[in-house]
Amino acid sequence: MPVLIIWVIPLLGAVISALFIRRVRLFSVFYLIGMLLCLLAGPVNLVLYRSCGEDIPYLVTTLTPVSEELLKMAPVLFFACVIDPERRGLLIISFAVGSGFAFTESAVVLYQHLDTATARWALFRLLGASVMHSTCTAAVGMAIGFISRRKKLFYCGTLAAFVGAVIYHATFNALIISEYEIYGYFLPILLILPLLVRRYAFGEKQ
Amino acid sequence: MMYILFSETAVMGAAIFGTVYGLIRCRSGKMPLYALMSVMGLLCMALGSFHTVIRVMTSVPVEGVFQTGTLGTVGAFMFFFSSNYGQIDLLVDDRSAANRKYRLTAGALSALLLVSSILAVRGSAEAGEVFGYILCSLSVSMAAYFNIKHLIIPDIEGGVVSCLRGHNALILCMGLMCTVKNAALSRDGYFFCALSAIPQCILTAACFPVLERGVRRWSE
Repeated sequence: MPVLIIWVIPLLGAVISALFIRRVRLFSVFYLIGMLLCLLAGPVNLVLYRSCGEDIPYLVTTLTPVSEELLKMAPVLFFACVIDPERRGLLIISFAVGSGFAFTESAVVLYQHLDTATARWALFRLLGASVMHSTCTAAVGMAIGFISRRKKLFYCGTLAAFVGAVIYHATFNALIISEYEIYGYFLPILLILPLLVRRYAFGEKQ
Repeated sequence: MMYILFSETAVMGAAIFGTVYGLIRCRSGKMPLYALMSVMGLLCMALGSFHTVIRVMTSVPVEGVFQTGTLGTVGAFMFFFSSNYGQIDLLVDDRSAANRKYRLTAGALSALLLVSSILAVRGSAEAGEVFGYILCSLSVSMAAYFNIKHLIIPDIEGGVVSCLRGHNALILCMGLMCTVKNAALSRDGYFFCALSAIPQCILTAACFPVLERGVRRWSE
């Protein structure tokens, strides 16, 4: 069962996400990179946990958002600087990294809470975390795509977009460790809903 | 804690007003990238304040530690710095010797702001908290360099400098208020922090309308 959860959920996420994306090969490669980065985030967070005096609320609201967003931004930045700074490609790969990271993290968290987890909690956790991680990385990717050709804007603009993603991530984490957990899961969904409605209901092009 | 909640909620409200107003105006009219970056700055500020409000409501410590909400101000001033540096400065300053005195004056004043804001928070709080305030002061000073320069430099043909003077003055005052607020917070002056949030709110809410008026004058 744990093996099933840890592998089936991310792969199912990849298949569902790939259905909506045109450049499937590019998406798949960066989705796998996102999965690997999530596994790398574990030891990094462990080091941070020990360095902050094993204070879990402080760790999840302040340190892990910075470390995880840095890890997720690294391949996007590499792609923009070395391979191709084209905006559409950057949006696809950043979304892929974010969703790979999110599905793997959700699967691991579900495995850790296997005894106490309910189906409703698992569904909300999966949806909330997936949307949050994907939108954070996609927003950074989109911002980099927007400013990558303007060298004077690139460094500060990338830093500013990264800061925005960190704050959004930290807010989500602060909510899910509190008694307002359910609002935490709904926050990313509520934020992404107007964009989806605009995109699909009104048929507006990106 | 109530004072922090009040000040952050007020700043969040003003920043959300500025962001929504800015996004509507950017969408309806032809606005330059400079204006869009200012809107993103306000959005960053709103996110930072929202995070601090959530922290207070969920009883996660906001005092005596480096907290992520401080990064909202850092991001906002990075956007303001980036918009001036990347979009306007090349038009305004041709790097000639005639403009050197304005560059030096702006550099000296922003360095003075940085040093005084670091001295104001130094040794009065925990290392993590001071680190957050120093990051904040650094971004405010970086943005202040271009704000001061564009306030004192003579106008060029086309009048972009005089059109954006009001906006630059507002951003400079916002930066000063942030510095004052951080200094008050580092010395547990919560009432003063709440008091300083009132002018900060007015400045934040007025930021985009003033910019829009300047852009309209510029395009005319």
